[in-house]
Amino acid sequence: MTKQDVHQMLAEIELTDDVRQNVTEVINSFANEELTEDEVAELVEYLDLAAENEVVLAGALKEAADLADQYVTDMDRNQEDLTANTIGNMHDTLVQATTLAD
Amino acid sequence: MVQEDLNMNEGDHPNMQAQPEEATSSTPDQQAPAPTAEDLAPPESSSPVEQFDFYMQRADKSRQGGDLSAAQAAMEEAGKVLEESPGDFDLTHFIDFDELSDEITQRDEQQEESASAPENRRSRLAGMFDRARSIVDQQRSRLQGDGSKRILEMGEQKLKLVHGKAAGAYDAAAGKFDRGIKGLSNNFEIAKLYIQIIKHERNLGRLEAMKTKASARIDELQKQYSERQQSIKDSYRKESETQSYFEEAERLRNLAEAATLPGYSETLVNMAEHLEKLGNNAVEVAANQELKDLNTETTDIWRELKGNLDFYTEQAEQLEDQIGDLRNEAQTHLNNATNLQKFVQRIREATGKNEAAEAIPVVPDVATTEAATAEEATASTANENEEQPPSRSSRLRELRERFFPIKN
Repeated sequence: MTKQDVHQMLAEIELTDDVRQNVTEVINSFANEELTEDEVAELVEYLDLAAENEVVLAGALKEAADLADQYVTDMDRNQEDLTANTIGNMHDTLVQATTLAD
Repeated sequence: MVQEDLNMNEGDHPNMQAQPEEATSSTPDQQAPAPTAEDLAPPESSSPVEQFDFYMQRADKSRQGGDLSAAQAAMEEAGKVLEESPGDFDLTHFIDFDELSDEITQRDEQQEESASAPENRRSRLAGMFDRARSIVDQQRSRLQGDGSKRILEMGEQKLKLVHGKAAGAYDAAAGKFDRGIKGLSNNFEIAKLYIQIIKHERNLGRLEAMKTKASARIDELQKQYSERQQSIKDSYRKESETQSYFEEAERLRNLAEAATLPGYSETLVNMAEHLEKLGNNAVEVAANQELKDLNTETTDIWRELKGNLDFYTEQAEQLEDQIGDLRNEAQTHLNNATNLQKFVQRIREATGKNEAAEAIPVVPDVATTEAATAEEATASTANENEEQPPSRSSRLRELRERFFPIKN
């Protein structure tokens, strides 16, 4: 397998630019055009690690999103309670005052 | 006698000629005969020439016998005779003296050289040995130098190989470091979001405190309002004009009850009601002013609360946008992982076509495990949601199941 083969396969898959750049650099780091079995194994190992890293990152981001989502939900509920209580109290007071005035 | 000697000395001295025959027949190893008394000194009556001949013959005999010391001693005596009476001698005597003296000296030198020959040979041998050893040492040193050079060259070559591998390992580590930095950068964005959330939580706490304060303030205002209302009523009722309205109205009602004339009682009641209405109006005027003040206070509080609500609404909307970005970014990374796995799968397939099944022999256990996992993942992918990527290992699968549970 040659580096050209690997580059060709890389070009056919969809990746973000940063990850694609990293993979390209790893492929180019091999000395010869024809990759040895050890070099192919090294490349596969790197790609596996990169994939794992991407999954971990995705998981961390999803956790953060879930946490923020929960927070916004809680905040909305608190705002509703706060609004209802505060404005409700004010409303009662005003109604009472208005009734008295009438 | 002297003349005979002189004639004879011109080329053929009898004593001198007799001795060489003996000399030629004798060898240095032969022992000379022991000197007799007459051999030691010439007769006292002899002339200087006879004395000279005597000593010359003695010297020559000793020379031939190898006793060079005795020969030299005899020559010294002959020399003394020459010095004492030089006029008694002709040139041939002097020549004979010089020749014999030279012979003795030469023989002495030869003897000394001969005597010192073994030592010289040893010395020369030692010198030759030293020189040979020096040459051997030089050669050995040169050979060792060449060997060291070859070893050094091999070492340098090996060092280059090691350096190349180290450089490769360094580059790989640097690459992993860079990738780690990128991961940290992403984590940093997450951390920033956490910090923002914490700030919101602090603001929310502040809002909660404000809510409590506002509620207490409203309760207090309500209480104050009620008390004030009652106070106003009581106050206005007690004021003379207002009081007189109510007192007059009460009196009119009493009169109405007692009235007997037709229609008089209703008139009194109407008047009483009118007066009460006047009194109540006076109270309401005062109460309305208090109510206006109260409205102002509650409106200020409401406006403050509304500002906070607007702020939090805006923050919530921003957070929702960020949450959407986070989910999109997470999905992008997940797509990267999926496509990287597909990339690995393609490389393995290509390698398997071109080479033997035991490709990647460096870490066969990992390769086998990963290949098996990839096959399982491929098989399961066909039956599951296509967006669910194949997992590389149990660890990867755990991560996926943790963050992205499979949805059929």
